[in-house]
Amino acid sequence: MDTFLSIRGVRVVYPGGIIANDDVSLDVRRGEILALLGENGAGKTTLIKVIAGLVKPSSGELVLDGVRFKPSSYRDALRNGVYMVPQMPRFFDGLTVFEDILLTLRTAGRGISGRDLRRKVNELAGRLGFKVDLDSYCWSLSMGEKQRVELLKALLLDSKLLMLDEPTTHMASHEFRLLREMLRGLASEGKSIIFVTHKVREALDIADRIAVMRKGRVVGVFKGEEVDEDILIKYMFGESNGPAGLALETYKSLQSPAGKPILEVLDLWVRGAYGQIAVKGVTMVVGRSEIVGVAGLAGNGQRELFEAIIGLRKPARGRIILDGEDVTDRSPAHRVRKGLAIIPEERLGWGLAPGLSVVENVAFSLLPVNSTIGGFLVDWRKARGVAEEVVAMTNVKIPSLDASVDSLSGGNMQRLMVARELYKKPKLIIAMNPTGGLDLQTARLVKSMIVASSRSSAALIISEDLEELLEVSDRIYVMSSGVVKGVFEKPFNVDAIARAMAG
Amino acid sequence: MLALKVDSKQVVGVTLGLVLGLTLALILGSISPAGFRGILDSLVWVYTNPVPHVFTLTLLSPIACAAVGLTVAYRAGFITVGSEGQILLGAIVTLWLVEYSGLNLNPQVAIPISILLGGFTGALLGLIVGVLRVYFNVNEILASLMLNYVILYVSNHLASGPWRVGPFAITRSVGEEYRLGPLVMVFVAVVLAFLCWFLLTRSSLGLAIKVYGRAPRVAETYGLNPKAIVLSVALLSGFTSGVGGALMMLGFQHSLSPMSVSPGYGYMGVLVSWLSSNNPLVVLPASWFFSSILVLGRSLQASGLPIGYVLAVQAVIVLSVMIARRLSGRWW
Repeated sequence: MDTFLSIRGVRVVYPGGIIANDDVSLDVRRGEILALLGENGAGKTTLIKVIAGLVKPSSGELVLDGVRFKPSSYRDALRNGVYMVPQMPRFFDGLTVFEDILLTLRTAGRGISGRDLRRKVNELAGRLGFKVDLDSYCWSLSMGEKQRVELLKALLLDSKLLMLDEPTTHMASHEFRLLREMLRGLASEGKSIIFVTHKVREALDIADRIAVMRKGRVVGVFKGEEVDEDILIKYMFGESNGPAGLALETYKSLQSPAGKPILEVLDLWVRGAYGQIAVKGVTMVVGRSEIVGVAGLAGNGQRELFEAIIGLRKPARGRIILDGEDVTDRSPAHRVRKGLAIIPEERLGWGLAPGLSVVENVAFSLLPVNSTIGGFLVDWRKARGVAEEVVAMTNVKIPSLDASVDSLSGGNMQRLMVARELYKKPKLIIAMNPTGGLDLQTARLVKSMIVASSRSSAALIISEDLEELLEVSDRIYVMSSGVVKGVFEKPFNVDAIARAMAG
Repeated sequence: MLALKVDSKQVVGVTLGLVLGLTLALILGSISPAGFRGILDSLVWVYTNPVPHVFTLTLLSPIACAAVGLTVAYRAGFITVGSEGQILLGAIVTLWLVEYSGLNLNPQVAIPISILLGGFTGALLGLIVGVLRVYFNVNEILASLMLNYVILYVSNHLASGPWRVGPFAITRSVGEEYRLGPLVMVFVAVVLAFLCWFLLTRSSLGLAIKVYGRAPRVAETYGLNPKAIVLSVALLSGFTSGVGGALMMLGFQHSLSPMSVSPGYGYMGVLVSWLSSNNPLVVLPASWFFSSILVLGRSLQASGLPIGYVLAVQAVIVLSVMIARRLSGRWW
């Protein structure tokens, strides 16, 4: 089999200095299914976006079918026979499937009459072995059906390279088998397919070759039949050498042993944004002065769990007990007053209010728990004093208390938000990806702040960064598909945790 | 500390917008019967002669009262346009109190009571919209717009039915002893503007309003009460508009008739609030400006220009200013 697409030294740096792809080189052969395997944030989606013309690499080049390929836009890539199916295929809900397909074809510069299109669609659908009702509305399609229509579009466009980004996220298992058969059929016709996934078994099941990505690099390429799950998991997560931060160890040694439970989550079931059940019967306990980690790949119910605990999402079943009181039906305000410090995964727009100043952002969150800075009226003089103390905790120079928080860098926003929450002297700190996207130094500071503060309180840290959890946690729950797949106590068995994470 | 500060870029943007708006207005006007010359003459007259200044100050207060309350509502992201109906309702209850209630109160009592009564009924009307939004998830723009029509038809009904005097659809007029001069009216508007400014910059509720308006998710997460925030701004903006309605009735409207109802003071309040970057103190000069354009329009009507021209000019200016402000890098 000859090479169809050659990726050479592609490097992508996002604003803020995050290196998403670091010197990636990879060949995609004609007529093969290549799985791109890696955990979240490994750089898989960025890589296929580069090929689809959605992201411009800062260096490196692509060679498509022997010709240098530099897509200037998504449309340009489409016209060159490259088709990308995003993780959540986007359709125009108000159009019928027929109209939507027609629109895509026109975008790609393919004029086709309505009658021809109907004939061709029926022919192709027959060949792929499924039915599609062209006159149903797009909103009525399931995710699996949308994926199939996307495949149809790719075929109608005569695409030579098909890229699917986590296509099975919202798919039932029989839909996956159907998809697998279709993709195999297409590959045997000489089309090249890149299948992006974070599920090891899926990759083994579907691919001819598997390329593993970690931290923006391709760390290994294997033939499907020559590799097993264990090896792939090792490559995905890297060889772990145990906890790294020595300074943190000293903090930990000062901690008293776990006391009475501060947070108890009992048989919690929570629905997600699409009405699906995202959290399925989770039970966990956080004791006083304990740090508990929740590990798992993103999208396995952690966000819904977080939102249920802070009171933004009403659980379908189960209880949440905070410091001895059942708060399941209580408002977020009540939980905050009971001593909950909240560090959400998005800074601007969830943790901090954009457009407001530093001091306003400190004051609004402290007002409900700290009566010295005001009651009906805000005592701005005292509030400024408090804000100065909070800023001092961040260890960075923030130019002015009156500066809008928008003007701070991402790292400084995070420092400010974390410092403000810890200033509350909370009973429980709940954090989600507290060091996500931060530089090393800031990440270290944020970690040590949380660890230090948890001595006198307790912390629940939900994170995609397993190494971070291994470093700070006393206990780790692993979540996969909304279920706790395992509870691990120190010393951690990293292999077992990684295996539980991979589902 | 106070989000109510002016930055130089914004001033440039607003000035540019005003210049552009007036230029467009002159061009629009020059193709009308009045001609370029007629417009220019009227412009000079409005801003140099003392007589139109009195008119301007008289018409200013309902616009300003509505706008100051709206600045607070808009900062909470509660985009009501109900001020039109609230002004009219405030005017109706004021007329009822002084002419139809049969109480014959003396003016020292009747005037403050009617201003408060206008405010409270306006607030009640605002509360309806707030409750619909908070408990039934009804869009506040639609709900408040529809309520404006309800009040308009109530007013028309009163004027042509139960409250009619004589052969035409017009009610009794407010007695001379109850009428207000422009200075008292402007004073009330200034007091309301400072109260709203104080609320936004000094109170905990004001801070919560700003947080919720910028990022509802932040407010909810950290225990601010979204329902209370929305209901209080709905009440407040209704109150100030209702006060504006009472002033309108006592100050210059004096009676109700289907022909003489407000030429859209409430909607002008909406425009003024946005024009002022939702800053209650900036509302005062901005409503003076709008009011002066209204007077300008009245003088142009004599030269055969329709009142619609004035409304078009106002819209052009607001749009230009908003575009200029956006281009200069800030929304408010």
